[in-house]
Amino acid sequence: MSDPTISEWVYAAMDGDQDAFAEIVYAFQDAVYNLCYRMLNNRTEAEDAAQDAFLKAYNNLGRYDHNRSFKTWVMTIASNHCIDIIRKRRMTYVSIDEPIPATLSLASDDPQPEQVTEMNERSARIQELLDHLQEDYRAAVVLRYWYDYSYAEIAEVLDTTESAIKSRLFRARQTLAALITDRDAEPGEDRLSRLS
Amino acid sequence: MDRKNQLMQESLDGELSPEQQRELDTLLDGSKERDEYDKLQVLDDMLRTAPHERAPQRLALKIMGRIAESVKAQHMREMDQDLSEMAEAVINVAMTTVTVATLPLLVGASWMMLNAQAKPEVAEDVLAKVTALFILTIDVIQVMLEEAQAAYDPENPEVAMAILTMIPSTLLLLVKQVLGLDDEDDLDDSAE
Repeated sequence: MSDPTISEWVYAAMDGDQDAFAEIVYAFQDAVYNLCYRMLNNRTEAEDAAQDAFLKAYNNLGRYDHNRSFKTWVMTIASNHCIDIIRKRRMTYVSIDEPIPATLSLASDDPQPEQVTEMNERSARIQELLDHLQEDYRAAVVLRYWYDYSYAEIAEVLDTTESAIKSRLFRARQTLAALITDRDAEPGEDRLSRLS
Repeated sequence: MDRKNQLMQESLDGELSPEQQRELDTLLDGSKERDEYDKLQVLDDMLRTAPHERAPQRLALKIMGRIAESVKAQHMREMDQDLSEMAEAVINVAMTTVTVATLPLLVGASWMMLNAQAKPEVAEDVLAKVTALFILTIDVIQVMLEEAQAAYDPENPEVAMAILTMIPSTLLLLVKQVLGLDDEDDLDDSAE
């Protein structure tokens, strides 16, 4: 069941109140964008995908089941959209490589420069690892680690069973663990001293 | 999934009891999976502490802009559909009106011409009246169609339709005027 405030916004948006939907967008834009970015590893595409996901949500508000969490519903739309994009990418052989920008938006305010450097490096490495996963495995990992979703919630978002999700996460972790190097195991300070 | 793998996964999910953790440690001691478990833990730590990307500034504004455009486009599509349905109805009314208005005139004119052949002395007069009648009919239809077109308003299309529906009665009035008939007179009487 959705938060009562979110439910009110959803009902108002269904009646055509765009301001109410704007509140929904403000509430979930970070979550949806982060999911899209982790899935697509491209900021421009992630922004477009987040826009598309919210637009789809708005156009399909009538189909939303009010017994479900609205956030889970939006995340379902976003993850399915990203999976479609990745599949189309593969079909058209478009490169998904994108250099990680020098600065990274962080949830905490005003991080120290060395923290930014470390986080950029870590974020880039994580994206590099995620790129080795198939899109549906990647979605399961992102939902598990960035959103702390249970197996049941991930199964709901990806429209599959809990056992399938357990299996996907197991294989995804094994795949990623095989790519872990000694350098990944170093504490952050060691990596920074080697960088400077 | 064997017992060792199952325990490793559950350990990463934080679901192991202390006894199960000890069981896992025992199973891993001296085994080749120890290295894999260590790497899984490094990976787990990396992912758990990965930063969240915040949405770019103005993302919400862009989304709301696209939604506003989409709603506007949808509204326009619905209006276009309504308009095309209305236009179709108006054309149908106009065509029916013109047909209704001109058919009796054609029949009447033919009847007058046939009768005039029996009396050659009035043929010239009948011919002039029939010609005038048709010119007048065409003019009336043209003027009223132009008026209907000018009066057409998507918000209020009834005005244009009302003008079109006035064509038959207007024509009848003009025919009576041309033939010099009173309102009470019948067209059949004038033909005699």
